[in-house]
Amino acid sequence: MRNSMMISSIIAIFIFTIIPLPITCTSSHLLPLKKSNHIFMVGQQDQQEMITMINNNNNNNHDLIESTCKNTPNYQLCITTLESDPRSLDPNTSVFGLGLIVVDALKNKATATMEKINRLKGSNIPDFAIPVMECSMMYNAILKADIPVAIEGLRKGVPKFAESGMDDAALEVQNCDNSFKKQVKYSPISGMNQDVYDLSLVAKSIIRLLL
Amino acid sequence: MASSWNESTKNNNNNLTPLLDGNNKEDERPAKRLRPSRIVFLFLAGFLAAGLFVAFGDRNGDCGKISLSRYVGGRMSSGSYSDQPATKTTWTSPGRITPAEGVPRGLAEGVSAKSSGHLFGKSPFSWTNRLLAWQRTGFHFQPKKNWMNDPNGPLLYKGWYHFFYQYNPFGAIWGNIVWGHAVSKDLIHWRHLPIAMVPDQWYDANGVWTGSATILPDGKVVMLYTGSTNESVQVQNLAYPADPCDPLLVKWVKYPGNPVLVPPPGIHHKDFRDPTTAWSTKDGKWRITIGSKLNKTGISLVYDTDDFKTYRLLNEVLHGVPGTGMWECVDFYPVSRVGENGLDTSYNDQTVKHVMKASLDDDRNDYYAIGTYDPVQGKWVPDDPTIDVGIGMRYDYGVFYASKTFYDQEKRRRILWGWITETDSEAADIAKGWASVQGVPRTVLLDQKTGSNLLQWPVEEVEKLRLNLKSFDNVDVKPGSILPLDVGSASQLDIVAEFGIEKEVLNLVNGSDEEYICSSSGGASQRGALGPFGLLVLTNDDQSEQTPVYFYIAKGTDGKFKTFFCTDQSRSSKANDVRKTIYGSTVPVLDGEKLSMRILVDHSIVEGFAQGGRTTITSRIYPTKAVYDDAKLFLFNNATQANVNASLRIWQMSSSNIKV
Repeated sequence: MRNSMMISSIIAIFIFTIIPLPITCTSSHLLPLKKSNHIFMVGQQDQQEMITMINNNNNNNHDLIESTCKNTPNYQLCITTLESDPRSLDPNTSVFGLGLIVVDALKNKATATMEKINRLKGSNIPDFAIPVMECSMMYNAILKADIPVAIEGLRKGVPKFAESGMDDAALEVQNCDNSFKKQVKYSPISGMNQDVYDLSLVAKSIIRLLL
Repeated sequence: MASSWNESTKNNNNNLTPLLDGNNKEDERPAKRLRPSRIVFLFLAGFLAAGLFVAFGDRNGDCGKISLSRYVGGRMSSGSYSDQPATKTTWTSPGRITPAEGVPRGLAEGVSAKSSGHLFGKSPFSWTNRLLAWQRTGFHFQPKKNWMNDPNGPLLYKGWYHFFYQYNPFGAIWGNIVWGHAVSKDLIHWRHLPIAMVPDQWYDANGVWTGSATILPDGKVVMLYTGSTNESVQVQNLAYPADPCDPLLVKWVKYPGNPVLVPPPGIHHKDFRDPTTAWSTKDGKWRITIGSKLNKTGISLVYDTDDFKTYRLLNEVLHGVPGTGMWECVDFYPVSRVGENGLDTSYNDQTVKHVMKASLDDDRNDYYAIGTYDPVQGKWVPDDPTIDVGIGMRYDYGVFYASKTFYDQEKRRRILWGWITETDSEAADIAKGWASVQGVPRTVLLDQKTGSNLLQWPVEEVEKLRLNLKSFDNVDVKPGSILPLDVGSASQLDIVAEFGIEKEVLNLVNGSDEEYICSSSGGASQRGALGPFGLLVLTNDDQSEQTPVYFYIAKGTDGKFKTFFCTDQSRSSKANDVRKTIYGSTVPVLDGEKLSMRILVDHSIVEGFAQGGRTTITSRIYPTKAVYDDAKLFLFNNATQANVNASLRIWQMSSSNIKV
């Protein structure tokens, strides 16, 4: 944390010395740059390059990963998910980037689950017909609505939509699991559903840091 | 009619008068990065341009003859992009997304209850088309299909109410945001018009987001809106009607010098959105405010402008409240302490209070506070800092977000629009093909009796939809009883109810220091001495599905009464995949006042207004049984001691037949 504070203050100094203030603005007294988890300002390329330079002194992104994951309900899953993706370790990756990485991991899990559901569809087990159909709809919602909206919401800077997407993914996956339990007393994809559920909660918590 | 539409488009193009001569080339510039040097250049250019500025030409001067029939008589395409300016963006053409991908979705509100419920182990519900079809509303504003969110730039122009809204033309999920557009003569019967603005410029390539209209003294309209740039930087842009003579304002032109505002130093580039309607300052300038945040302090930045193209940021924020997070869709307007009418946004004298509203990104609720505005300092101060913006009163204690008011200069009233999201699952919405409705427009006034809250009330035009009045006078409802009210089909109703309680009972009941909270005090089934009592809407015969809208009176150990107004969704549906929160809050009741409520029921939306609109609750209800002919209405009193005397007037509501 101390590290990131230092970085932030260095950046603040850079920004205020290098970026000329628009003459119509008189805001610098009012709005000092405060410490923030997501430090990138107005898409200014020069500035970003500077930030990269500063961050490169710090060889990895472990501090940020750790502090981010501490804000989630499943620290271990969060750490494992992030550390298994090399993009997390890129010092340029911000909390926003970490959020996208978890959403990506969720997408992979959900895609794999959807494939499994499709295989079950081919199994022709009569009791599976209804839950397979319902899960198919629910995973369709996750893959075609929740995840794209989460990614777009994150990229475009309206994390509230991303959060809603993750809330819904958690809901859909529970409904899918219950559909199996209702018909056949057990869910053949319980583990996969649980994984998707857990990841959606981790993603939601990271996204909330960006609100 | 298609040909006449093209014709009118052509005419509009011919009439188009640029804001600044010679600057139209700007339209053709390729998308550029928003670099610092560019920002400075923009500011400088804008500054210099101010000197050359020719105030909006005389576009509004001589409108000549207007052929309304072109628009009004015929069917208009709501998805035509052919009239949009040539673009250099990656904006995908309409129709590319297949219906299967056009997945409508419901947004969770706030720290969502959707995922916090422990559904593992409960049986899911299979929605049928019949049930989903019932959910569509009869007299609320909705696009024909797809996703909608914030209300944008509402205004009254040449006799037409204009309503713009955040809209995804390609599906029922948030994304690809454009400005949908509709017009009405009465705020109830709407006609959909072509999309007003699409993301066709670098400065709004990632979305044409929320904005507000300002009507200048000469009648001209300017629209300020947030664009998400090709690099997802939030900037403010200026647009204006291409043809001021067109009362329907079908075609819009974006100012070639956009963006007119970029995030100031110290403000994160994704925390700068939703400009307000402008109000005039004493020295003849225009002033707007834009929500933002600094760390976790929600703030509203203030800008002054002469021409809506160049702006000066004031040194101080209009207001800020620590811990409230990002302020979206800030609204700021005067309300009268003495008069009966709404006020123009610029109106200010000793007789007004100023309302400040912010939509909190953190919990997705609309909060307001009443206070005093100092136009010299550009500061606003709440009357009561303990109920400041974001930590005190809400417009609505149910689902209600990103709201926006406008001043209706003809009927001299201020009207509030609010976005009502879905609270069911995405998978259910996919089959539905649409997501979100707008609440019935409400008039907003200061409650001059309490002086401390607003009164929100459905616009009077809603009453034109009333049919088949049924009155029930002085009905005695004994403790623990439920009475069916035979009003026929109960999916579209306007209910006005008054309740009286005997004074002796109020005196007899022992006070308690137990705190009552709508959301956590057991809902309508938790009996107290003096409540709950009210109505069960969208309830089937055996009441296995019921939505109670009710009062609960709590007596404190000091003998003082506190009245609560709540909506209990916990038994509103057999389905497990819908949110079932119990909503509500306190409602001020003055000495000698009867308890009164008004409820608008319109299929999946139920809007409750207590004590003339001091407290309101909007909820979305998704029953599985209490639909169509099985949706009934009951009167109930679940108090243990109080006899309740109820008088009700109940109307069926006809549909508003929104035209496409």
